[in-house]
Amino acid sequence: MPKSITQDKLADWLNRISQKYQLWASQEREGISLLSPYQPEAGFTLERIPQLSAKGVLFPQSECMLKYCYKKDPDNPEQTDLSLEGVEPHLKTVIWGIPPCDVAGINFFKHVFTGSGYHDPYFKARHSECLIVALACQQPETTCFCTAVGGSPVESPGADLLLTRIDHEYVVEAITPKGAELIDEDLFGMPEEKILKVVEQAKKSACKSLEAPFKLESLPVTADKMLKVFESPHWKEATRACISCGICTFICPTCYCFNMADEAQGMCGERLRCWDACMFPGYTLEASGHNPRLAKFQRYRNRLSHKFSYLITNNQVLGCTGCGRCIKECPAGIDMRRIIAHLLKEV
Amino acid sequence: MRPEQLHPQSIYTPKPACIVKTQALTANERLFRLQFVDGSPLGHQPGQFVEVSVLGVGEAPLTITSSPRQPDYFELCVRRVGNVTNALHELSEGAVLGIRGPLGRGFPLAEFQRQNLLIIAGGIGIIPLRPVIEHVLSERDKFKDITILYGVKHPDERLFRDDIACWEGREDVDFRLTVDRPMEGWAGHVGVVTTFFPKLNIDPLNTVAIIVGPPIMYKFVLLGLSHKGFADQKVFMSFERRMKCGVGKCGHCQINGVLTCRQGPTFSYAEIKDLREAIG
Repeated sequence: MPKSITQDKLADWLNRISQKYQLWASQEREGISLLSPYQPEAGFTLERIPQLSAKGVLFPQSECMLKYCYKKDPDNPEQTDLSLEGVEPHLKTVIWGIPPCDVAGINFFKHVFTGSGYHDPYFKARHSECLIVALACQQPETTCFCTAVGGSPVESPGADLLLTRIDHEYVVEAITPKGAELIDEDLFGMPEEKILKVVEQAKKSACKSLEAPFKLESLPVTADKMLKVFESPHWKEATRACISCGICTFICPTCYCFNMADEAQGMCGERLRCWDACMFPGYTLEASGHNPRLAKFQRYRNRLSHKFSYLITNNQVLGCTGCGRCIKECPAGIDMRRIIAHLLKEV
Repeated sequence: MRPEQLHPQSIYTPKPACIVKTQALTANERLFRLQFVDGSPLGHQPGQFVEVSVLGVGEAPLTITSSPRQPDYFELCVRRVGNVTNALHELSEGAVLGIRGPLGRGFPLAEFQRQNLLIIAGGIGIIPLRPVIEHVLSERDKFKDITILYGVKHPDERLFRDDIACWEGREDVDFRLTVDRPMEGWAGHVGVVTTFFPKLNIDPLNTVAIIVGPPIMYKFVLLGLSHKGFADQKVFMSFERRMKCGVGKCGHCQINGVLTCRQGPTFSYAEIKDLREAIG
């Protein structure tokens, strides 16, 4: 049975969670909403979609992968020993109040980082000890299109709890037993029957408010169609304004490319993993000077083809959650919805 | 502040290896002989690569250039071109590096048995082909005719000159060397590697071609082989993309939907022919 919590008790709930877990919640900062480590004095907001996706909690923008140290043998200065130690993060985490499109992004990461092939130990360790509290998105923004890519604004598979706001009350549905443990508190009550009916109504109207900018067929058909439009002149036309800034990859809940860099301090140091972006010209640059994707239209084509074709073929998953951030934040006004819709009409 | 737990088996954690011998082969290429500090063998296949760490500088993918027949050590031949390779060139015997691997898919040498082999190397493309040549020569009776074509820009750029002398001296190998620009007194062949093709007497139905070289060489050699009547599945090559993580996660080496580091770096031409970003 769902439970409910009134708005004035949310802060108490968050404070209690933060005593047991590292808690991430959205904070309002200079007019934007940012998912941040929770600090009671900074408060929280549930008003709009956070500007950055939740991927950074489980796949930080920069993280230590290993530590190394060279040691000289004082009796034999010619001899140097190297110690190498992998670092695995272990931290009980709760990500609180994120929209279903960001939960879909975390589900996507499970496919690429812990699905077929090698498992990524850093993501795996973080994800295995993470609880996700989703918030149903009742007023999707004009850039939202989750329903066009198989998502829902108001249901959230992969989350542990789902909150739905009705006036000053939040109805809380436990999706997993771990989630149920988070609401085993005296702060919660039982929602009235009529409230549950209102929740159903609210969910239906949220779904109806979303328009689909394009219509995808099955995933394999979509993958095939996107391959067929590889040579379309539209890639070049549509990306003429692109400035290769990479913001679309930075804020995207599914972009997972990374680079590795060493930071030395004397004889010891760390290897860091940092987000990278396939929109940067140096991304594919080889040591020889050869660059397979030198032109920006090639890089943009690779990004969308990866999300709508290659990932389907290789990992049976679509690489877009319909959050719309890349449309909202693009300084050149590039709207991938229009590009996909245009390309799908060509085949 | 952040609790950490050591995880030695991470796919991203290298294993220390010691440089036991290093030798300059040309002005820009050096050969490094390495041994794992714990004494374990690398256990690779010809065509596979390793990620080499000069800790504090970074990590770079390098193809193994020694034969798996020597389990006591493995060799890398390194052109100085970027941060990591320049730092490598500064290291001498006794220095310790980090190694991850072997990674990727080697050449399917077992499938090549009872066939003629046409091995074509351009420039430093000889590096991944050297273990292939050593392997087929050590099991010479399992293969039919072996032809090796090796093209370099200038005679000074020839790598593995001791090996070349050995290959040239063998009766059971047709080894041919060519240079683009000869130096004074050069008596050998001059021209790009495809200039050997017109006089090459080859039976395309019973021959496997293994080619490694720069993108421009692939373009012309593939065209030449197709004119000779080679089927796409009889031509094998190695792709050097920017294989950063080496384990199929980071995205840098992706050619269309193919991850070079895991599905390659060796491919048959049939496998990559339809990948539109493979040969530019």
